[in-house]
Amino acid sequence: MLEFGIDELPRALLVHVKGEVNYESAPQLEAHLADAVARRRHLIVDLSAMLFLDMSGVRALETARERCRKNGCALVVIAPPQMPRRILELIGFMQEVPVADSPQAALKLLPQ
Amino acid sequence: MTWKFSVNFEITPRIIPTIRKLIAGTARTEGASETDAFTIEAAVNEVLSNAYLHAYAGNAGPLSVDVSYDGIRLQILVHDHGAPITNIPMIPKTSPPKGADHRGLYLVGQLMDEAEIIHPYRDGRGTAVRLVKYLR
Repeated sequence: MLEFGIDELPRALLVHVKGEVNYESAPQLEAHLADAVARRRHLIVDLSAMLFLDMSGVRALETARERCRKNGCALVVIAPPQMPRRILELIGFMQEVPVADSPQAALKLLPQ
Repeated sequence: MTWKFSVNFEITPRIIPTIRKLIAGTARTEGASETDAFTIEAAVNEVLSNAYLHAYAGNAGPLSVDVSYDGIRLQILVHDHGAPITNIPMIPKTSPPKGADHRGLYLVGQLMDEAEIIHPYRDGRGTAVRLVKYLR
């Protein structure tokens, strides 16, 4: 079960991702992030309630990052819990995107 | 205390969470830390997904999972009867570039204490992936 929420912040869209991202649910994650990227705003993806992540979820996040880059938008993530974080660290994603502990901290990482 | 059990089922995306949670729960019962249990769960998930996607090309197919514990090591052997899941003989030890194949297998190798591809497996059909985590 994967749930999404979206908040319009002054300088970015904040997408909340809650639940397990796996082979079945990763297409939902990719689609939600694609919709957010299409609005051509900076994107903050809150992974703090992500319970599980596999390679299909990693690829969805990488795709969103690439789409942001092509649109000239920044992508910042709010740190996931230990297990998804370990996956993202091992695969190199955490080293390639700015990571914050809160939406407020994420806003400070966006380009001016 | 040593024990072993086997689970035989038809692999589909829907059953993957059930199997991975069963094995992680088994590890917790034997005293695995939460970190180790999550690690095992993530590695098993990747191996099961590989079997579904590559051995059976995204279709349901028969899969066996043998789980054993010798008081120190938890071993998980995932065995399919389909096409080879990979064309490489060993689990990669360095991260393949983004977009390349075998990133899931690389992840498995990083998560587990031992990880091995056995191809072809015992009866000459399919692939086995053997995973080990030391719980003591």
